Amino acid sequence: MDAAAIEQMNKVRVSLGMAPLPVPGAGPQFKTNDESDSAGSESDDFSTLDKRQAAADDNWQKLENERQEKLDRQRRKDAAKKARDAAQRFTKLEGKGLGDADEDAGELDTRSWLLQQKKRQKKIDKARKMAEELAAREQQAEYTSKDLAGVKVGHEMQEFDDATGEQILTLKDAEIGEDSGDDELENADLRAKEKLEERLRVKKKRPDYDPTEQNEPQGLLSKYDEEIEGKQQKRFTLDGTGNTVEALRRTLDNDGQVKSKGVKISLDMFKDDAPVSDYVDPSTIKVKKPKKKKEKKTRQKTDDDDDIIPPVEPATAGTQEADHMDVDGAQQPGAMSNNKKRAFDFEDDDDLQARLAEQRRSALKKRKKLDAAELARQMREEMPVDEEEPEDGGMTIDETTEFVANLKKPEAAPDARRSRTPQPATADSPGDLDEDEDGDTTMATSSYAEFEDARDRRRENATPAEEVTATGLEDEDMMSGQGIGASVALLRKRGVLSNTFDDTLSKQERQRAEFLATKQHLIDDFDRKARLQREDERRKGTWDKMSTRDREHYAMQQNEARERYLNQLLDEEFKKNYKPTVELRYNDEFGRAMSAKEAFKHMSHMFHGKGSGKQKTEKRLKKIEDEKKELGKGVLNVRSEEGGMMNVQGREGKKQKQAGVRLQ
Amino acid sequence: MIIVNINDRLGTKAAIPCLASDSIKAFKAVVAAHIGRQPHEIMLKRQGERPFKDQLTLQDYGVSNGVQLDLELDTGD
Repeated sequence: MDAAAIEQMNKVRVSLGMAPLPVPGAGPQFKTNDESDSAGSESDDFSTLDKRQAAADDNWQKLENERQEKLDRQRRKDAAKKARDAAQRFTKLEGKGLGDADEDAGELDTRSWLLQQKKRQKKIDKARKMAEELAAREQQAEYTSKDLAGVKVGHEMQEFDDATGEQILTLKDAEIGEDSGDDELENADLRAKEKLEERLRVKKKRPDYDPTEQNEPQGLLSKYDEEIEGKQQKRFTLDGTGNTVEALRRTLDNDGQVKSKGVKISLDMFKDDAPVSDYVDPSTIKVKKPKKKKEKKTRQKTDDDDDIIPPVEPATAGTQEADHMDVDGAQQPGAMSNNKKRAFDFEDDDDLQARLAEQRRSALKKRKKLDAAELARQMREEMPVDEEEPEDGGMTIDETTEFVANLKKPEAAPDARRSRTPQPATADSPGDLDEDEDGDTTMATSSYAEFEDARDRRRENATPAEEVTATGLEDEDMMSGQGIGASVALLRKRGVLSNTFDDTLSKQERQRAEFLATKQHLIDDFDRKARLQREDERRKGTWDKMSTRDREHYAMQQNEARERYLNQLLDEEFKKNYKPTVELRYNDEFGRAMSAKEAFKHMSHMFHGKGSGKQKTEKRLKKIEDEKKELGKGVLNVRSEEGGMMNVQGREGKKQKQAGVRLQ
Repeated sequence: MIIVNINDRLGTKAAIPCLASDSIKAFKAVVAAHIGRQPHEIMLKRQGERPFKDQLTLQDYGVSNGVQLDLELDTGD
């Protein structure tokens, strides 16, 4: 990458807001490291990605070194072991071999060798005896608790209590040569139990944060302390006697101050929780006796002896009350004393009400008296009574006259319009007639001039016809004034009602009525005749001659014959005149009237025992729903696009199955 | 500073010098400026892998010196 390309790239990068690339020519700029290096070159600074990476590298390097060291250690240990074993093996080979030359003796003959043999034997025996003695001595060495002084036990003191009894401790496995200083004893069972508990605890996956815990905060990420600083070994050291070194130390230090693990609570804290009474302690209330207030010096022109009167006043209160009864007299002294009284009112509790009453009465007297007559006079003076009637000549325009003027008879308004519309209607018809005539006959009979005239007339007639507006609502206006006939005619014109003005219905009615009447006549006649016949027979006496059985037989015969005859008659009558109008009405399960096609479908479904499939039924149901919706829409939906008076033509046309637009 | 090759396999090739710690978003902007497109039209990916997301960096994707990335233009909206 050449510098120019990098320069260009740097321009782009800077424009995008990114850091520029290092140009190779310049080389890295280092800051001087005097005091500006606040972060320090320690590996605890993780501010940038690179520093973190560097730290990661360092960690990796450390791990690698450790691994390497371990390997080396292992190798060295093996080598040492090997050397030791070899040495052990080779000790056997020490001493003179059998083949070695005897350096001290040189050539020995058999006798001297035999004599030396005894010495040799003695030497061997002695060596053996010494070895035995040594072994015996070692065995005899007692192993008491003194031997255990300074030995560490790798459990907590609490785990050995009297309940567990005698326990066997074994030497903990330790690596030779490394940090193993002293021996450490441990109990295999306890150790196994600890391990199990540890495993179970780890398996439980307890959450790191327990919001309900109430200990003091342990410091940041306290759960990693164990991993970082190494597992804390709980151990205690035995001294020669049955105590532990730690216990001794503790007793020396604390002098009976046992550091307990719990928090000390003094039970006096509960004393303060007694609720404070809501009632004020009566002893604390200080009732102040009301001080005798000094009288206010009221300024009055007539009062010269203000200072003298006040002490005398309460004594003479009773006498002066009588004076106040006088209304008009003693006004002056009354006023004076009233003022004084007011000042005293709150002092003299006994006469308070009396005094106040006096005051009120006097105030009332000061006001003017208003009785009924006075009141009426006042009112009359206040309100201007208008008694003059309006003049008959002039016109008054106010709300009532306006309202009345706006009321009009309802026929008055459409009258104006109605006069217009029948004109184009009537104008059209002669035009139409002419049209027909023109179409049929004019070509043959009349001359060209007549044809022209007819055309002109049509055009003239057409012009008033153009006044008809685009909507056909004028017809509906027409309807409102005239009777049922007009509305029926309108509906017929629209096509809502069937258009035929025929009397078939009435004819049919008449025929039916006739038929029924003739039938009834026949029956009545026949009954009458039968009655007459029976009477004749009774008179003639045919009944008397016969026995009961004969009578029954005869009667039965007669009745049968009559019935037969009557039926024949009726049958003929029916054949002649019976013209029923047959309407087959089919209704489906929703109550709708079915057409012939639908009815046939329904019948065939019933016949074959199978209905339509899913799609066909859904289609049918959808159609029924749409129909219901259409019916339910109604006329009053002004806003929506389909409701109300919009598209009435289309909707009505659909109902009557008429395509196309009706031209007005 | 690493050099990343961008290949379209349809003729567009570029060798772009950048830093490994650049975000993909910035890198896309640089590539777009290089080839004359808009950054949102560009999609970078390794061959046969999922496209690179804007929030990460080249280093997170293991893009080091000399790696070739696929360029896709106009895929997506």
